[in-house]
Amino acid sequence: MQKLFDKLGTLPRWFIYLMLSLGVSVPLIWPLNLPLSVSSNSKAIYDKIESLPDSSAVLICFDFDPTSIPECQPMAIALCRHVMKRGLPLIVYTNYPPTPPIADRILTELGKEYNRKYGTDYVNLGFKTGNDVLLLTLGSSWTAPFPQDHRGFNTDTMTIFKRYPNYKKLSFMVDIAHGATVDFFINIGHSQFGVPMACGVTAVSIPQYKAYIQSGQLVGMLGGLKGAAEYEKLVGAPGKATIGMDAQSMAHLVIVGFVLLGNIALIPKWWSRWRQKGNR
Amino acid sequence: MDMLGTWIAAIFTLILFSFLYKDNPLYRMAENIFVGISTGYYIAVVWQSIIRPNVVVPVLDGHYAALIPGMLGVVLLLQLVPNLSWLARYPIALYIGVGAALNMIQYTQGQLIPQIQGTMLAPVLFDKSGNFMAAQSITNVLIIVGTMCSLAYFFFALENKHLAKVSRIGIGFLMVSFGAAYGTTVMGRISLLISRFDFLINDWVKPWFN
Repeated sequence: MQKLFDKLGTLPRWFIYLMLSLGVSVPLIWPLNLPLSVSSNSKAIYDKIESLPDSSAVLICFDFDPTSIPECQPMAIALCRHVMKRGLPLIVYTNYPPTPPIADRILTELGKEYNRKYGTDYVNLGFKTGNDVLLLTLGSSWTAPFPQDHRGFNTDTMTIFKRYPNYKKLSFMVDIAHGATVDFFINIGHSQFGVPMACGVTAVSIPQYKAYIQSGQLVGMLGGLKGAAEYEKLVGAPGKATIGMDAQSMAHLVIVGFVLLGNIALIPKWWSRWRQKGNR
Repeated sequence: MDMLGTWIAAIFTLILFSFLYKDNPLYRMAENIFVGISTGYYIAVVWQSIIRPNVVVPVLDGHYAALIPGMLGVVLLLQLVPNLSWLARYPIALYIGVGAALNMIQYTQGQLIPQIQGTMLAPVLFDKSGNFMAAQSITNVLIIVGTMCSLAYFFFALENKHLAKVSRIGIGFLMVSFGAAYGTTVMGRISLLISRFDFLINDWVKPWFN
């Protein structure tokens, strides 16, 4: 019995990697189609976009770079799809230099699918440096800090900016972020300009931004791959996040299993310590 | 061309995974290639997206005021020259001054006040028909107690023995939050692993069988 406990406590690393690899790869090859429930935080964003009047403009900020594509890109696709499906004007920009081409690819595909016109129904402004200072400037004008969009077109002649000349004219915004950009959208975009907002963040940032939902500063939040899969389900277009959810659940089961095994292996040590204390 | 890209990405993914067995020359080669390519890419992106549109193009168009932030940026680099490094203090001072002033207002307005308001909750709640709302009341009590006790742990003006019991409860709340943060971090890292496996299985291997 002691030997078994010792073995459990000293499982080789390769065995843990192998089990985790199987846990991830098997559901990707043979999907299990496990049920996926939608959280109230994701539903709140969906309901907010559904409730907007037809003339409401929405801003989606692509504040992630290629390192966070697995979690953030499915959220971005699902959210842009929802806004375009609803026929709402969509403005996109990013605070990360490598992201404009990623945004452009997504918007071009969805624009074709929903027959939306570039410059009138949606626009990709691209990247501009400045973070919070840029956001303060956007409060008075989109076209001053962005005289040209990502594709090199002049923004001052675009219909979308004649109807919605600055940030304050937005009805809703979502920041899809892997960093701290959500903070300055809360501080300036929401608190100073009064534009309702939500965020889509990587799983690491979920606990940090939960407090803003409780305080009413965020309408809702998409958290990690799970949040993205929930939104894909809400818009009725399963994508990369949905495919990954079975693997995510199985990998978590494997990790929980190993944590339990590790603790079971420690039982004899706890037992002997407890007995030593009793003898004293 | 797409297929070539897929093959390169797949081979490099496998080389990087080889580190799980042990450090090896192929892994180090892949790591160095990644660092080199990203540095080159970022230099091009920074030139194209920041320096060219904000300094070069305005100056060529006759807007010479753009030279001022451009020069401040160059002066910042003088930190690397020992004899002239003192000059770099001026743009840093300007940057800190503007940043502090902006953040003071923004963080008071957007974080401090709304977050304090967020903890000013009724500990006992009843709905319109007078029924006790147990779940919401418990949540509110937990938020109030958790905030107070966690803050007590970070209260350094009094000797710890006066607040020992309260701050011990605070540690409990902090531990729960660290656990949640750890759990979501694991979830995030697993998502990255899933993405790589999805790429290897569905984008690289599956087309061989089609």
